[in-house]
Amino acid sequence: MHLHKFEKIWLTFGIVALAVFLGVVGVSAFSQDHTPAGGMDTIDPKKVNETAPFDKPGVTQLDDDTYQVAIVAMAFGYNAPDLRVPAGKEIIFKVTSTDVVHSFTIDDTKVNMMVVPGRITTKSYTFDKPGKYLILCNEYCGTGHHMMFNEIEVY
Amino acid sequence: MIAAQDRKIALWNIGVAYTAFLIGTLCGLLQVFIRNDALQLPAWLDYYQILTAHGVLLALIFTTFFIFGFFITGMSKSLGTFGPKVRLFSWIGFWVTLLGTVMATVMIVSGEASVLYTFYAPLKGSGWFYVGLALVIVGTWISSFALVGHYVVWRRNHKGELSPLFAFMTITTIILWIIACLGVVATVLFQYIPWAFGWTDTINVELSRSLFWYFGHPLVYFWLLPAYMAWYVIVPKILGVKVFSDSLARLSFVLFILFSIPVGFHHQLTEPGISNFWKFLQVVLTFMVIIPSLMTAFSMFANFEISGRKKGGTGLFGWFTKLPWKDVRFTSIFIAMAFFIPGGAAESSMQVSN
Repeated sequence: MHLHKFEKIWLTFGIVALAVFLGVVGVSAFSQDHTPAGGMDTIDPKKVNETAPFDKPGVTQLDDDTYQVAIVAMAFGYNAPDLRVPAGKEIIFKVTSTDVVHSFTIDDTKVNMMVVPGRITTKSYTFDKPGKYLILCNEYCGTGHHMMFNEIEVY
Repeated sequence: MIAAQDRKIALWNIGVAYTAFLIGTLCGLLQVFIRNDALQLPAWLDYYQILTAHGVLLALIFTTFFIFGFFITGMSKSLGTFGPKVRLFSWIGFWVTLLGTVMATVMIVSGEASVLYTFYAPLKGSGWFYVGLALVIVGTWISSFALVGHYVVWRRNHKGELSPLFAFMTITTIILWIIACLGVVATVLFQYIPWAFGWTDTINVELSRSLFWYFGHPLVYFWLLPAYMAWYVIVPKILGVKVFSDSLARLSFVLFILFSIPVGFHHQLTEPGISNFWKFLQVVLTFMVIIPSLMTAFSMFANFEISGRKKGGTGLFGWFTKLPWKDVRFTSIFIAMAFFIPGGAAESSMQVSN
């Protein structure tokens, strides 16, 4: 198979650029822990309300610098009373669903979590700026999907 | 011009495609009016019914029928008129796909399947909606095997000859399609149908999502490759040049089969149940598709330049003005190509920034 000289240059450039790009993403993901929302924990979707931490949803302070926020998503809302967290501290969100697939997405941040029944999704995030943030479900979950939103206050 | 009997199959496929396109687009327009409160829907129809119809008719039905119409035309043109068996099975494939389409559409319109075209469990539609989807896939498989059969017959009669580029690309795209469908067939047949009819109580949600996206991403390549075929086969013809490199064109299609298999997890980056290692690996594999894409881009612009220079274009970019801009067959394809480049680049970077 014959490769034109310019095509060789073009493809080499493209493949090297791709390798560098993916290398940066990989190093950042695994050595600096810049990973997307996820987690391997499972939960019985029928017993969410009896299972810790979802038996007491809301904000819990784990230590000086870490807070955990447990949220139960359901059609069509979030069970998460009194969502107030400090800026500049690590916030660990743990979300699960009692019925269908939802998302837990905080507008203007990198918090974008798919919420799957039977699974617990975890995402760690640190807010830089205080203020009120909009929480949205961006995964279609039924006729009331567009009414599924909430608010989190960062102080 | 291809044989009238083959043209009839192709035209029926394209006719259904455009009917689906018109209805699907009308649904899209209705959504706009509903969202800006210009329109009040009757009680039996809601926004998500229309949204589901819009998605299924445009993303699944329009594309599939149009692509098969395109394949049938090109295969009849490049390999010769269909034999009676190929013609029969192309018709059977068409009718089975159409039957599935009608079943799924009736279920959507009657409000029994407002589950969007991704139909993520455990949102549940009527069992008949999933049967309809399964028939759509089965129908496309029948049409696919008819075209493969046509190719096999040609091969037998032309031993040792290089197959026409269009036929090669059709067969590779069909292989990609059949491999991709295995995921959705598995989930619809073994998970959704037993569950929607109540034969099983539960459904493994995470598994169904992974199987869906095993299909859902290569589905995009199934839409893309016919466009590439137009770029590789039709554009050079309009420009009056030979395709820049026939063997590289073929290689890029083979690479598409390889890179289309394990890539679906990148649609599930923000969800639980898949470890970060697998997410990253599939992101890497997804980006490999850049290689055949770059090959294609190079080949396209090489064709443009060669053609432009032949027509007397000089200097670094003079050839660009000599392209047949007044020929809609060229300009429409060029515009699509031009939009595709920044779109693809931006979309893939957005994914990773998460």
